[in-house]
Amino acid sequence: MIIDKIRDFISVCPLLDEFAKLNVDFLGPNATEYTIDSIPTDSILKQYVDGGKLKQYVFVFGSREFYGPDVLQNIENSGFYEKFSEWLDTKTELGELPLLEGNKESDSIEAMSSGYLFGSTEDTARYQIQCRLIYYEDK
Amino acid sequence: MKLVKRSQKLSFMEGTSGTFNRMKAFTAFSKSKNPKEYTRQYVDLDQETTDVVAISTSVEFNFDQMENDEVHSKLVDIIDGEKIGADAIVTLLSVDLSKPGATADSFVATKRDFVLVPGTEGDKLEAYSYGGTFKVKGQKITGEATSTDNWETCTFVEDGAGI
Repeated sequence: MIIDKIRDFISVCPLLDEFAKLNVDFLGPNATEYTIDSIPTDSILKQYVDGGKLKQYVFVFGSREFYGPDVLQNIENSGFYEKFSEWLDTKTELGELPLLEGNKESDSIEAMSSGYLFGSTEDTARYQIQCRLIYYEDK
Repeated sequence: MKLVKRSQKLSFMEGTSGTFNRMKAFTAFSKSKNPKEYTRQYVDLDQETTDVVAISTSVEFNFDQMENDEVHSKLVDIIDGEKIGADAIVTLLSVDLSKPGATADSFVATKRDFVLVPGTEGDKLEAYSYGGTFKVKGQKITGEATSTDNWETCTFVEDGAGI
């Protein structure tokens, strides 16, 4: 499964809190916690004449962070996503990408948006960033 | 009635080992027949008469370059190396998966030499792409093709040679 491979890939990101959980399609109420949620979208970017396809897997990477009137804390939250986006670009440049199964091969991984506040409670907030994995699928 | 899909007409290129490798990641591979006509009017007729006296098949192609692909490596070598004459000739095989052959798991195929005429390259942002035209260089040889690896590669046997 692709989301499984993306989770394996992101779980070794050095920016993540080493003690925080990395969930799939679930984000708990307490900071700090992470989630990877798949997003419904057109998966085929390009179709080749022999039946091969260039496809995308779009997902949201989100986190529950401490939040409040402390400006420095909120800047740090946004800064994390800026660095996360750069980390994805670096991994693509190095060719260190999720290892997919079968007839699929990763091409690149990138952020499609900047990190943004998605919702907040009194002392925590969910931040998230939309990303995608582009991969080639043989016929 | 059943629609014939584009992906049922596979193209292969002869590799160094003699086997044919599937041509992957091609975004365009369209054939043109380019007939040469001979039109004249005979004095005893009121209308013109036309014959087709030659056909010069060509294939417009475009592909996204992939790493570790034998077909792409050979094509890029010819294009980037600005090779000419016999060095720019490739052997292509068209396999029609909608036409079963005479034996089990074989399909009707056509082999032919083409010369690679380079066109544009690097005109897309999402991938490095090469484009150009394959122009006919030899006789069409019909036969049958079989594959043991789900058409990653295939072997070709001429009609009459037996499989």
